[in-house]
Order: sequence, then C-alpha cells, then structure tokens
Amino acid sequence: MEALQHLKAELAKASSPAVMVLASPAVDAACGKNGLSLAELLRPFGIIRQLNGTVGVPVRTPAEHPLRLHSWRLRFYGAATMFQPSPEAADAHLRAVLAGGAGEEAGADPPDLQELLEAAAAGGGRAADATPWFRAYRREYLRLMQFGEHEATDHPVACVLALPSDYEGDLAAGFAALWRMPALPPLMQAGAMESAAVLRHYVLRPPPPPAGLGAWLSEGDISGLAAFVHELAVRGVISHMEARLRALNAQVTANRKGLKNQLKSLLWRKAGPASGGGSDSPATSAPGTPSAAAAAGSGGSPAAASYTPGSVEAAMRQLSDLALALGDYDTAASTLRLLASDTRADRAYKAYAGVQEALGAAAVLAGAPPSEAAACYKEALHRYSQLTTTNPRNREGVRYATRAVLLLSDYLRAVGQHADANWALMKAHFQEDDLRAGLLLEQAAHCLLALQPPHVRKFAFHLVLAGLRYDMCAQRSLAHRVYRLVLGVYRGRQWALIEEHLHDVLGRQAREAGDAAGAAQHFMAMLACPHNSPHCQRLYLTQFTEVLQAAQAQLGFPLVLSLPLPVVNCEHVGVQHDGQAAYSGVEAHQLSPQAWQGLEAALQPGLDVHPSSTWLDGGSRAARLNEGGEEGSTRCCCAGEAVGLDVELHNPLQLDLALTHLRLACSWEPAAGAAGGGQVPEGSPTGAQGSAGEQAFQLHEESVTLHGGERVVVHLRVVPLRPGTLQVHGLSWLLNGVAHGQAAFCIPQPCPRKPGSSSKVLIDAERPAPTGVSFRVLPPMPRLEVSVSGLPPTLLAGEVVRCTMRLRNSGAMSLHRLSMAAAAGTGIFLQPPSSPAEGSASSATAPAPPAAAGSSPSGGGGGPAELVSSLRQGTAVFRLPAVRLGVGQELELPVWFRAAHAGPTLFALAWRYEPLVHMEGLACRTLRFARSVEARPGLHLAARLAAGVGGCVPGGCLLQAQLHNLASDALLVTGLACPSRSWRLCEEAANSGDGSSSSRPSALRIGSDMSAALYRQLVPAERGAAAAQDTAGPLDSSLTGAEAGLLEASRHAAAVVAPKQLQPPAGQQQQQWQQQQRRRQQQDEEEGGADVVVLWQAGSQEGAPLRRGFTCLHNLRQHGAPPIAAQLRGPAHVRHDFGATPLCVVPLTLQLCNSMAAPATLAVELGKAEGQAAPLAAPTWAAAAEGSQAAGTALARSHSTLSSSSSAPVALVAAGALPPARQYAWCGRTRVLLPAVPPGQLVEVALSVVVQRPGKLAVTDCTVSWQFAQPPALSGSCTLPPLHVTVMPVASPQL
Amino acid sequence: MIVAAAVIAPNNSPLYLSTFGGDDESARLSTMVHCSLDAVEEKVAAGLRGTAPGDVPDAYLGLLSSEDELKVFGYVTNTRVKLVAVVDDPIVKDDEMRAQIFRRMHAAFVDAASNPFYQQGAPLASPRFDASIRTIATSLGAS
Repeated sequence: MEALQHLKAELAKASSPAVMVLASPAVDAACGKNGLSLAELLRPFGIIRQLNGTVGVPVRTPAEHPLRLHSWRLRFYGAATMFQPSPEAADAHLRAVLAGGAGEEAGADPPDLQELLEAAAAGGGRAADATPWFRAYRREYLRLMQFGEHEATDHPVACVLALPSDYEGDLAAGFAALWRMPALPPLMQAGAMESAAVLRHYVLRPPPPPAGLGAWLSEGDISGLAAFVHELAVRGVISHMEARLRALNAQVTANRKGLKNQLKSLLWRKAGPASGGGSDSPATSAPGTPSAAAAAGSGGSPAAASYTPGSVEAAMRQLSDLALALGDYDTAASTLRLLASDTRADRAYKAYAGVQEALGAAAVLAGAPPSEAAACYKEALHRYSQLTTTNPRNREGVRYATRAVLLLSDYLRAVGQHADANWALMKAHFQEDDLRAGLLLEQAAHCLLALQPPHVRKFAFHLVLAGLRYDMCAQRSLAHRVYRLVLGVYRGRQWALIEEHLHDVLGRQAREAGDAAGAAQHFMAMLACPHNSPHCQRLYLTQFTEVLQAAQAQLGFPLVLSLPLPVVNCEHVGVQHDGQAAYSGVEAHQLSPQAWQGLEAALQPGLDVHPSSTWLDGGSRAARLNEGGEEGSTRCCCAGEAVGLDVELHNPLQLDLALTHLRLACSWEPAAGAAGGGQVPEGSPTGAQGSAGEQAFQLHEESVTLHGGERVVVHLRVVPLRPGTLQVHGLSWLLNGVAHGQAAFCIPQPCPRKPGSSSKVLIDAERPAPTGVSFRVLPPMPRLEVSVSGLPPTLLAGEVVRCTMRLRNSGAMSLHRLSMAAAAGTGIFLQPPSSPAEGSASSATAPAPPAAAGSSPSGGGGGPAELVSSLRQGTAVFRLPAVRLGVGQELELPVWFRAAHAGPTLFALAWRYEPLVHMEGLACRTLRFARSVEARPGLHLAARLAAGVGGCVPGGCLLQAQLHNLASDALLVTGLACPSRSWRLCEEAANSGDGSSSSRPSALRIGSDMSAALYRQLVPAERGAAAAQDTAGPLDSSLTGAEAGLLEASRHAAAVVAPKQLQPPAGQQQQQWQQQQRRRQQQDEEEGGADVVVLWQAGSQEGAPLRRGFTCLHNLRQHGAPPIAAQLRGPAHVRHDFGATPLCVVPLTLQLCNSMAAPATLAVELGKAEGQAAPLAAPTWAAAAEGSQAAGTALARSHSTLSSSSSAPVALVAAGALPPARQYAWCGRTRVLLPAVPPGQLVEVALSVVVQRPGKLAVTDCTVSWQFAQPPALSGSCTLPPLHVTVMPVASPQL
Repeated sequence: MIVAAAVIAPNNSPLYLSTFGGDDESARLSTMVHCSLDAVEEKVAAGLRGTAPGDVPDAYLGLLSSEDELKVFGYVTNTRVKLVAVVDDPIVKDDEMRAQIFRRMHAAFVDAASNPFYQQGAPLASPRFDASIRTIATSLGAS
C-alpha cells in the first residue's frame, strides 16, 4: 500500500497545474544573486498543505458535484524551461544521471541473493534498494518526457509576470513587453499551448539584496513567498481554472455531446478518411471548428498528426487535464473516454495513447479497480509501441512507451501483480535502445524475485540479458555488477555452460578494465571444460596464461591460485609412512592390510603366554593389536624417514599439461613441551627453517606431464627432520611453467567414537571438518631393510630355490628381538643359520662406516644366531632371539622359496623388531616384505590309493601316481616318498619301524609334455610303532632339511584349507564342541591319509644350474576301500600229473578282514556269476592239451553250463556251438556263512577248486556279501578280483 | 524434434544435459532448461494433479515455458528427478509428449540409474543412456 500511495502522490504531482513564470531580466538578475531563478524560488512553495485553513476551497465541477480542495500543488516553471528537450540531449543528460548513480553503487559488492529475496518479499522501497540508480534515472526520465505536444497536462494554467518594483516607465507597457518576449515556450509560440486562456498575474518585485544561494532570504521573505503562492492559488488559479473548466465543458458539450453531435461525429468521422483521399489523418473534429488538419496534409503517418489548438479534441484534452488537476476524476475520466473513442476513430494513435495514459492516471488516482488502470496503461504501451513498429525511424513512440511502462510496472508492483509487471517490462525493452533495455530488463528480473515461489533462475537469465545490454552500451560497471550477481545464482550448481559464459564475459570485462588479476580468476574458472573441443580448451588455456602473465607483471610477484587443472583428488590420499609398520616396496602393497595384520598378530610375543582359545578371543586380540597400529588417531613417523603421499591427479582436458615443482605443502610444529620454536608455515623446496636454524623437514619435488584425459597417481615425499608434528595441508604445483596452483587436502575424518562404546560411530556426533594429514614425528628409530637376492622372476611350480636374505639396519638405533612370520602355505623357509653349510652367513657382518660400528660395539649379536621356528595360527614363525643389529649392520640368512602352484605367487613375510632402547609410542616396528614371482607349471602329480586291488595285502592298497611333465624341460624324478602314519611303502628292503618311507628308483626321466605312472604298494604300518614316531621328523636323506620344512608347511597349509566347521558354537556348547574337535583330530591322526611326495630335478644338463623341487599331495585317502577287505590267495603255479589223477585240486585261501568298527555278518558265495558268465573264460583260459581251439571253447561252454547247476565232477560233452565252459569247479560248500566277524579281525576261509586239464585259469566267481546289524548298518557285496592260477602237467606236453 | 533433453537431480543440478541443435545453441538451450526449473517448482508446489479424481498424480507437467519457437516441457518423477525436453515443433500433443517421450525417457533413466556402478547424484555419463535419449529425441514427430 505504501508503494501505491507513493505512486498516487507522484501521479497527482504530475497532473497538478503548471504555472509559467516570466520574469524580466532585471528580476532574474536580482534573484540570480541568490543563485536561483524566480521559478526556482517559488517552486518549493507550490506545495500547499492547507488551502484556506482546515475548511478547504470549494470547487464547482461541471457536473455540479461538490468538491473541496484541501491541499494542492502548483508547479512553477520558468518560461524558458517549458519544453521537451531533444532526445539526444535528454539521453546525454540521462547517461550522466546514471553514471552518477551507478558510479557509487555498482562498484560495491552485489548483494547476496538471499538478501534480495528477503527485500523482494518485504516489497516496497526495500525492493527498489537493490537498484538505487534506477530510481534517479526514472525520476529524471519522467521529468524529461514532460511537455509532450499531444497532451495538455503540462500546459500552463497561469503565468506570473514579474517586473522589478523600481521599474521605470509604464508598468502596463512593461508587462506587455514581457509577455511578448521571445522566451515563451516553443509549444506556446507554435500555438499548441493555449496562451490566451492563461491567467496572467502581474507582480512587482523589490530587488533582493545580492547574496549566495538563498542566503539572503530572510524569514520574512520566505513567509512572504508562501503567502504569495497561497494567495495566487486560492484567489487566482483555482477560480480561473474553475471558470475555464466550465467554459471548456460548455464548448465540448456544444460540439461533442448530445445526440446530434454524436451522429454528426459518427457520420463525419466515417466519411472523413474516405473523402480525405486515403489520408488517414485525424484531420478535424466537428465541422465548423477551425480545425487545422494541416499537420497531416503531407500524408505522413498518423503519429505525426495532432489536433490543432482550437479543435474540440484539444479542448477535451485540456478539459480533462484541468479536471484532473482539480481532482475532478469523474469529469476527467468521462471526457477522456469520449476523447479516446474519437482519437481512435481518427487513428491518431499518439494522441490516443496519451489519452489512455491519462485515463490510467485518472483510474489510479480515483482508486479504480487495478485491472482498469492496468488495461489503460497497457493500451497506451501498445499504441505507443505501434508508432515505432509502423515507422522504425520514429523513436518517439518508444520513449513514450517506456514512460507508460514505467508507470504501469510501478502500479502493478504496487498492487502485487509482479508477473504482469515483468511481462510489461519485458515487452517494452525489445524496442528500446541498449541502456534503457538493460535497465528495464533488470527491473523485470527483480519483479521475478517477488513472485511466490521466487523465480530465481529466470531472474538470473533476465539479469544475464540485462548484462548483455549494458555491455553493449558500454556501461561496464553495471554489467559487471549484474554478472557478479548472477554468478552467485549459478555457482556450484554444475550448469557448466552457463557458468562458462558468465566467466567469459566477466573475464573479458575485467581484462578491458585493466584488472588482470580479476580476469585471471575468471578465466581460470573456465579452464576445466572437458565438454569443449580441444581447440576451445587450448584457447582458454592460452587466454588464461596471457592474462596471468600480465597480472604477475602488474603485481610483481607470482599469483598462487586454486587452479582447477589438474583435478586433484583431495579426499582420497594414499599415505605411505613408516610408522609401526613399514612396507618394503610396491609388491608389499599388493597384499591387503588385513592379511598383513594377521601375519603381524602371529609375531606378538604375548600370544605364547595366552594363546587364544576361541575365535572370539582371537578376533578381539587381533582388533586390539590393530588399534595400536595404523588405525590410531595420529600417524607416527620417525625423523629422517621419508613420508610419502600418493595423490591422484586427473587431466580432464584433451591437451597435455606439464606440471613441475609438484610438492607437498607442509608445516611443522615442535612437540608440546619442546623448547622454543613456533609454527613454521610453509616449506621452501629445500626445507623449512626451524626456529633454531635447523631444517624441520625437507620436501622433494616431482614433475609430471599429464596427457589428455590421463589419470595418474603421484608419489610426493617429505622427510621430517626433527621430532614434533608435521602437518601436510595440500600440494602445490606450477602449471605449464606459468601458473602456480595449490590445492588443500580435505580428507574426511571418521566420526568420533565414544570411549568404551561398541557402536562404530556416534550417530549424533558431529563429523569433524575434513583436514589434511598430520604426523607425529618421533625421534630417530631403528629401521630394518630387507632384500632378497637370488630369487629368479620365474620358477617352476614346486621348485625349491635357495636365496639369501639380507637384513640391514638403516635407522639410527640398534635393534634386536628379530622375528619373522610367513603364512604357512606361502612356501618360505628360513634355515637355521647355525647349520654348518650356512655358518658363514650367520654372523652379522658390519661393512658399515666405522662410526656406525663404533656406536654399537656389540652389534651383530653374540656369536651365531640361533633360530627358533614354530607354527602359530597357521603361520610359520621364525625368531632370532640372539641377534642384535647395530646401525648400518647387516645380517645374511639363507632362505628357501617354493611356489606350490603355477601362476603368480606372492611371497609375503613380516619382520618384527624392537629398538634396543624402549621409546615411548613405538615399542616395536614391523616390516612388510613381499616378492612376487611367476610360477610356471612343473610336474603335475595325480595319485590315488586304490584299495582292494589284487595282490595287495589285506588292509593295504596300491599307490597309483600319474606324473605329467608340464614344464618345457625334461625333469628327472629322483624319488618318491610317502610319509604317513598309517602306511608305508612296501619294498623288498622295507625299513620297517619308520613311519614313512621313500623309494629311490633309478632316476626316471620324463620329457616335456610326457607322462609317467608309478605304482607302489602301501602296506599298513604297525600302529604302535608308528604312533611312537614323529611323523614330522626327517623323511629321508633324499629330502633336505629345508625341503622337509617346506613340506611340513605345505602340509599344514593343506590342513588349514580343509573345510572347517563354520558355525561357532554357543557358549554352553563350547566345551562339548572342543571335545568333539579333539576327538576328530585324534581320529584324523589315527586314520591319517598319506602324503605323496615326488622329488625331481631339472636343468641338470650341461651349463644350467641344477634345480631341485618336489611336488606333493597331502592327506590322500584310500580310494574305494570296501568295509570288508577280501583277498583270494592261492598258488600261482601248480604242477599236476593228470595221468595219475584226472582231477587236480588246487587249495585256495580267502582272507577276510573287517575294517569297520562293528562286527559283521559275512557270506561267501562261490560259483554264482551267471550274469557275467559269457565272457569269462574265453580270454583267460587257454586249453593247453587240446589241439583244436574250437573244441576247447565248446568244452568250456558245456562245462560252464554244467557247473552252474552243481559242483559235481564235470562230464565232458562235445557240443559244437555251446558257450565256453569253466575249466574248474569249486569243491565243497558254495556258500559259507560267517555270522560275526569282530572288527579288525582277519578271517581265513579255506577253499579249493578242481581242474581237469592243464592250462591257465582265472578264478573269478567268488562273491563276498556283508551285513552290519549294528551301526553303521551297512550291507553290500563285492566280487573278488580274479586269481590267476597256471596248472601245468608234470611232463611237458608233447607238441 | 527435440532440440534439448535434460535430467535434473532433486537438488536441481543437471545430471544429464544434451543439446541436439549445434554448439552455438547449447548455452541458450541450457539456460532455457535452467529457467524452466522455476516453472517446475511452481507446478510441483501447486500439487500434481491426476487425470481423474483419486488417480495417482500425473508426473507430466506439461508446457513449462516457451520462447520464440521453442517450447519447454517437463516431467517429474516420484523421486523428484526432473526430465525436461525442449521442442521446436510448432504443434506438440500432450499425449505424445507424455507417452512417447517422457515415459521412455523415464524408463531410460531408471535403467541408467539401476546400474550398480552408478553413484546417485553423479552426472549420467552412460553412453547407453545417451544413445537412448538421442533415439527418443529424434522419434518425436516421426511417428
């Protein structure tokens, strides 16, 4: 409402009566001594608050409506100033006004968008505060658009003629001369302004004393002036206007109103254009009036036409404007409506638009509905714009349209119709010149902020358009301000194209303004533009480089910027520092930290004292161990040891970027309590100077060239030199040799944990702000370096390689309590150095400088190091308790590696050591060492233990080993071993009593891609003897100690890999579960499978070194062993004199062994193999005595047929086509039942067969069935493997 | 045809913005899409209407703005992801936009966002998604 009142006051002021002031030169000169003209002197008193006290002045309107004026206003103008300046002069003046207004405000920082939104929501004056220059511009613009020829608002209603009081001569003549002066307004001289009807008020002025600006105006002068103006208004102007109003009304009524005039007007106006010969001039009004119509005679556009002063239209306009000035809005509105219809009919659109504007003002002042006023203004806007649309050279229409839209937008904003205001301003800006278009666009944009919800994005877009217009008309400060305001809307919202455009414009503006540093900032923001073409990217980069060079030349020092190139991954930074755990190389990083922690956990000395009993204990212990390590709150490093940070850099462009002087930005603080030393802010490349003049750290610089789209990880190092705190904030670099860039790390910090809380994070805890990396720099510590020599890059799978491991203490203190851990399956074995072969390597050698050796005279430990190896948690642990390594001293140890399987293999081992002097914070250190090799396939071994094979002893089995050489060279198999508790290799020279045995066949050579098979019989070992033996003991002389160790580790690893019980038991069942486990373990050991080890050699040819290796299989179980081991035994050769006795009885023995733990019922059935009878005899039996093969076959068949029915002596039947018959028959019972065979017992059943003729026979049809009544309640049967018996006659057969 | 298509995240940052009218137009189209978000917010704040009472709200927002011969249409998903298309056809049917364009764009977006390697809120760089959007863009008016 405040805005509406303000607008109403403004409109009332604009429609208040104008008074012309004509002063003689003498009066002007006299007033000029005050610095003011007479009009200026009178002007402030034109505002009359109280007309005639509180009573007011009654005014009689033409419609006889009572009206009373209480406060009024007169506008005093000097006669010479009552004209409209030329557009050029007006624009020049307006530019000056804008420059004055904008110069102060536009330089300041643009307001925040939030502030603007709040101001827009508050409305009124606050919204206008965002663009203070516009207010002044608008005021001046409206002022300069006064005195239009098509409106009578500014026509003077009275004239004050002033002569000096000491005027000598005839006063009347003097006043008359004054009136005739050529200083009258141009319009009045042209006759457009009514001069005859102007009230002339004659004044004689005493000459005021000469003085400065108003300084000599006394109180009396001021009150005199006020009284004069009041008197003039009440006595002169009002009554004159009243009279003139009535006179004009009478004229209009006579000529325009009434039915007759209406009809006349209708006819004449319709006929007018037709009779005018196509001229669409507004011509005249009513016939008879001295209307000129001359103006339109040239056939010009209607816009150029206007009504002559004497026409009824001019009278109507005057009438309405006078009525408006007197506050008689009804008369004004009705007259204006009539005039509007007339002018519209006349197509005098300029006059029509002016009338609509006045109608709008009347509607606003009368408080009409907003739509009415808005419609009038919109019509005015439209018609004014049309003037320029039809005649583009006519800029007048645009100027008036702008005036109309200024009033319209103010009104609409005042009544809250911001969207309509935006529409009107946008519509008006199209035709305007750049400056005013920019201003209008800016206002249109601000209208959008007042909408609900605010259209912020459209606001920004309109501002961009405004900025463009400002830029085009060289209003740099305004354009700059607008763009900066817009940038706040878009920044950080990933609208890359728009941001790029804005930065481009801002950068160019700043460059043209000479602000190279500012331009560099904007051009820098455009650099990261991966969506652009390489050409464009190069252009941007060049542009930025040039500007930056200019800026650095201006400033005189290099500018360090937060360059977007390259993209630095500030959140994920790999930290490599040798705190508690150190990595010995790239390969060590291939293993996950969890795996390393598992290895290191096995090295903890406390584990021997309190072995973890359950997995729960073990887990918590491991977690506790980890807490002390890297997961702690601060990272530790030691003075003198490099700290490395892996930073990922990405080049988003398609160009190459050269980065030099790439280094970390660090600061150092001394430890709390340390003497002296403040913060050292930034490190120079050579290292920061501490307070004591020492270097606190040393930085290493890197250089890298990033190709297009490349993503690299750069390892940057800093070496702290003094204990304290080292803070790494970020990194800095030099781009393309010109631009200094920097980036700060913002590594997310984990949420703090409540002490003792089991939850991972506190939900409500505030996450600490991301920061850089800080290190606690500890005093110098021992540092172990491990290197291995002699390990080839490729191995054969299973090959055993002897290498030398060299341990060196490169730190600043002696170390001791060395221990090493390697996963059991890895295939690493450390030889006890005390063995004679490696005796020379066991003692620590000290090739270090004498100073280092002198610092620890006892370095190298006392005498030969003893090595204690053990297996712990699936990890092989080797300890060197007696070794002490001084500074710079070395120790060499023999080490064996073996890759069990083909493929890439990682040998990982962890060393743990302690400083000689216990330091706070770091009781021990570990070194993580790994070497990777590629293992090529070697000897492939497949083996099975086949039970129930003929010829095996009961309970024994046959080892079938298939060897296949996958290597490219020939391999020499030198031995086969089968270390087992329950089996041993059956040999002629069996070394009984040993739990394991091996055979050394004469070396078997297997060529590349060749196979070989080895068969060995295994017999059960004597259990009692085997149990007493230690299976882990040395196998044989064929296996070296290292190989035995590796084999043991391999076996252990295989046991670990075997499936375990996954579900941990609940607390109550734990003990029971442990018992079960123990029982199972015992059972496993009892039954224990066999290991098969094949020893081989390779490269034994000339030149190549001998390579040894072994391939092993662990825990082989018997394959296919029936619950009942049955074996048919008998003589292999029988000699019989068939001449003496036709039947030969061959005694056989059936050995049955119950291998189950329950008594079994056995049944032996003989001769019941009809189902497979047919093929039985043919290949196995050869008739030695018969001459004909066919006859023999027939005989065999008949025999088979017969013997199936009974086991009686066989009758020979010669039948040509009968199936082959058996050549033997079972004697005695064909079914033997053994009711209860106790477990483990060997039962022998005596059997016999009879043979009629000499020959080879295969005894096959013996079936053993079993049934276990008790658990495991098995039943089944098996047919025994054939027993081959050769029956020969005593005398050799006569051939 | 469609001259620009965009997928805007709920926080109004662009997940995908592709223009098919040439490079010189891309900044202007980008600005148009950006400005249309005001209209989206206005319409969403006013409440989405179903086609029938009790119906589920219609995700199709209709015409958001028009400038010269270009028209901007919008669609908002249940997760407040906005799909915006700028069309230069003088006559565009709402049904066609709803069914032919935005439903298919939505399906393509869902497919792209279902990629387990896609991180929510990150720009959609999937070439497959880009190809499907281009197919949809050229399909308008072709049928």
